[in-house]
Amino acid sequence: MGKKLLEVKNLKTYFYSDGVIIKSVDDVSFYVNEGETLGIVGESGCGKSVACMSLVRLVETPPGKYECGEIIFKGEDLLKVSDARIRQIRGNDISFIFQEPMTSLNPVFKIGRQISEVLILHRGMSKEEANKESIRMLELVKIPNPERVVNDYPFALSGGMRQRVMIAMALACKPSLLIADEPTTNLDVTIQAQVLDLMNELKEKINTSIIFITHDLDVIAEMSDRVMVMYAGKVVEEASINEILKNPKHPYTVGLINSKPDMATEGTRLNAIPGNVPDLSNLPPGCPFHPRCDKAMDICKKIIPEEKLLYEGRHRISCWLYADEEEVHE
Amino acid sequence: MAKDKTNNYIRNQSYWGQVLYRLRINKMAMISLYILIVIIALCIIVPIISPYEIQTTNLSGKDQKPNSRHLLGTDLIGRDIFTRLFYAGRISLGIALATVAIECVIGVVLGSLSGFYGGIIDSIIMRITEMFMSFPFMIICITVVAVFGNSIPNLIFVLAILGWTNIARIVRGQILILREMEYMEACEALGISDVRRMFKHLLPNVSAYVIVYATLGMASVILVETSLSFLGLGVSPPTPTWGNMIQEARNILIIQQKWWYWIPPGTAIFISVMCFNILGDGIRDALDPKMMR
Amino acid sequence: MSEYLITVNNLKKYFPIKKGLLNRTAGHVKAVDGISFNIKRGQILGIVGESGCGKSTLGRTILRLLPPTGGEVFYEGKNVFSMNKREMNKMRTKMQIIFQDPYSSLNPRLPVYEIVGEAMLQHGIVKNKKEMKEKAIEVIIKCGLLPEQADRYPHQFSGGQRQRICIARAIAVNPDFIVCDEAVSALDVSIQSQIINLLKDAQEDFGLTYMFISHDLSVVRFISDEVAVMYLGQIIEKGGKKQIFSNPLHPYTEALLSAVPSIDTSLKQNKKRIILDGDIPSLVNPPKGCRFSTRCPYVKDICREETPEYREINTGHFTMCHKVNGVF
Repeated sequence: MGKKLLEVKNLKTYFYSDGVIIKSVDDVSFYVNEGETLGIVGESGCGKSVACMSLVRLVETPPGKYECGEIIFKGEDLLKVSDARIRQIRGNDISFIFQEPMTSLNPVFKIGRQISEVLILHRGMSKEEANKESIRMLELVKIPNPERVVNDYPFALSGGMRQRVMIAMALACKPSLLIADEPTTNLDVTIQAQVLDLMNELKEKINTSIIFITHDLDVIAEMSDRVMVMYAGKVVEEASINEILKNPKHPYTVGLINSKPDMATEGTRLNAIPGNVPDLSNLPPGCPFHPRCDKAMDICKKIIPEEKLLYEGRHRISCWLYADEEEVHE
Repeated sequence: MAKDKTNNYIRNQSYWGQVLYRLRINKMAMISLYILIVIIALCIIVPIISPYEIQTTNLSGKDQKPNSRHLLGTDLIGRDIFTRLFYAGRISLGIALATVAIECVIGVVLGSLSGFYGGIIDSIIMRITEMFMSFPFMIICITVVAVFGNSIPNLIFVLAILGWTNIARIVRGQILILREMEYMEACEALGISDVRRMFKHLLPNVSAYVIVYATLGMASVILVETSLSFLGLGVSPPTPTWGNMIQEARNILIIQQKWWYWIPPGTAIFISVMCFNILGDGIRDALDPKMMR
Repeated sequence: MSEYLITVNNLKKYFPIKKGLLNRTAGHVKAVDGISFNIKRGQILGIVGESGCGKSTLGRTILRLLPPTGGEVFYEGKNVFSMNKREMNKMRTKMQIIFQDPYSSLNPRLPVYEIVGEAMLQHGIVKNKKEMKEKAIEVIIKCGLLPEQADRYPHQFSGGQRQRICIARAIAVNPDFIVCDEAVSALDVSIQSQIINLLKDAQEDFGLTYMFISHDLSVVRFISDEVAVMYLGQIIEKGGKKQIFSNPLHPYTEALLSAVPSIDTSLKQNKKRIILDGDIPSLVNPPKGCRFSTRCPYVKDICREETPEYREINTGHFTMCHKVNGVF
């Protein structure tokens, strides 16, 4: 593995609304190596999207607030740099692909113009150069007839094609980090397969690091090298993909994997995790997962477990079950 | 801990409980509400607190500046302006309330029939609505006043007849949106009757919009009534309204020298219209928290 | 009494596309185009397909929530489409639907017991409001909610709990047949499995028959007895669960199954993924001949010309493909 491209330390992003504090991202640390794909899995409201929006300060403030933390990207702390500098980084060094491409594409401009704009702005190209480059980018993401598509409006394209355009736009400036937030959730299975295939292919071609956010463990399994599982604004477990799938440690991860319909044997019930997804404004004391955890102990109800690096550093975990294990220091 | 409490408090309220809670934390809206309550209360109790009769003239004490006996002075024929102001408020606010009430009844009935049944009924009602919307307002007013005389019922009738169209369109639009909701489809799948669907499922969900419109409508009716009275098309003297109190001060000399003739009704109009508008916006925000910033 | 609870015969549902000032009909969206199948009592038929294949329209048309364009639906041999308003109203209690979005499918202004109970009162299953509330509470307990939650309003519940309320509402009128239209798709992963369990339990306890519509193949595989695959308004393959998942015949089914990402790494290594070219064609202008011909890896000239026959290949295993039919 290459060296660390991005390192997030103790990031806290809170929201203040109606007199309530919502701790969307609560003391989250992680890193991304060069050329690596980090998957972030979690259910709605676990803070996975907010964490990534925070990386380039896309969270609206107020109601949001970056309470503390450091985001070290190529030696700069992104929480401290100027607004002008962060705008330069967005789209140029770090770019985004969102779940709903229609809302991220401007409906009144042609596809070509939207890609060119990014190129002119960030790479200082002339109009013609940018247009040529746009066509090349569309070709790269395997859009048929790119010369025609540059003159199309977004609504003329199908969901899968729009997502390809988004990928083309995101990669136009050859970013070192691509953040994909549920990029295939709204797509059909066969189209999702196309887009995932494309992303895997491009990753090798362009050597971009990717943060892949999704609620779907299966997609993560196909896409990432390393997985981070989030629950209620916290990282509960992090390890390589094989480690997580073969040897999950945190009861939540175990539950997620075991509750999948393809894991159930014929004619039985699914091993569902009981309870509800927690309300971030009203979290229980102690480990946020304890009300749903079948292994919960007394201590889980009182004190939030600390993160520990276990098993020769292969596994990062925050759970009281592993309190006695020997921690590995880097 | 206190924050947990407010959060749980909001969650455990019924729909209207939540709306009231959100309205209560909106300071501007609450101040407006209190001011309106004070104005309305004064209008109601003015016979008790004022020693003067509304029509009592006192030529010897005419044209007085505000003083301890006449808080807002007297007019050309010695009537107490304070007393007249709140008697006028009764008429002005009463007209507004009656008009808005009639508008709501007509608008909700026609709008919901239109939205609920659709098809030919919808087409007919919508064409009628458009017809009413294209009437030239002032000309109709002048005609009605000319033909039937300018009594208060006539004025209410004209204003309501010309004003219900907006609310009918709002209600229709909302019902069209609600009809597409899956819970309405579930009702159909469950065989729930039309009457119950209308009164239990559609109208309660529309009522919010009607209340907002009614509040904002109060403000606009007050303004329209004022303009009509000012033009002499509204309520005729000696019955006072805020509009014709200003109308009486139309003379340039009075405007320049006798500010106490026109400042009180002007202020009353300004404040009540402002308050109704702010309150209406406040209710809208309280009903739909997503619209708030 | 026939062995089939639901029989669907050449069902069609077209939506007209209106254009211009005069509302001229410029064409049709053929959302359901000649579908026939039947469901045995107590069985679960899974309907899979991608968005826009007409699977939701199919469910709604069967329940007569949408007026059909053609064809027939029989419920225990009785033609649902020829019923008058009164008969249909009685029929409503027999056939229910559970929707995808647990947020828009509950009226925010009614407390839970009224949402669950109002149809019982309407159909005379209970006599008065008091009895209605008692019965409604019984049902919501069965659906895994607490009795004291009966007085609350929908906004006080999470997505999964709301879906429990929707299920309670549907089973409160003692139906035989329930259409589950993407009933678990909008839920969080950990909640999805709870609701699937609840649906399965309800099916066993009340002897229900389901038509389970979903785009999620692993869910359908878990819950169904039989599976039908839809593509552009038609069923292109139908069979027992094992037949479809271990021995798919139609090239589309094959590609669909291979496209599903899976955490099963052992499976991943020997699985050859079939990536289909192109997009799903529109229902307004479906391709001539076989509808899958524009994306099919095995396409031959005949596929673009002639519509293949819908044939039973093995017992209970139907498909619609020239290649399988042995034409080439």
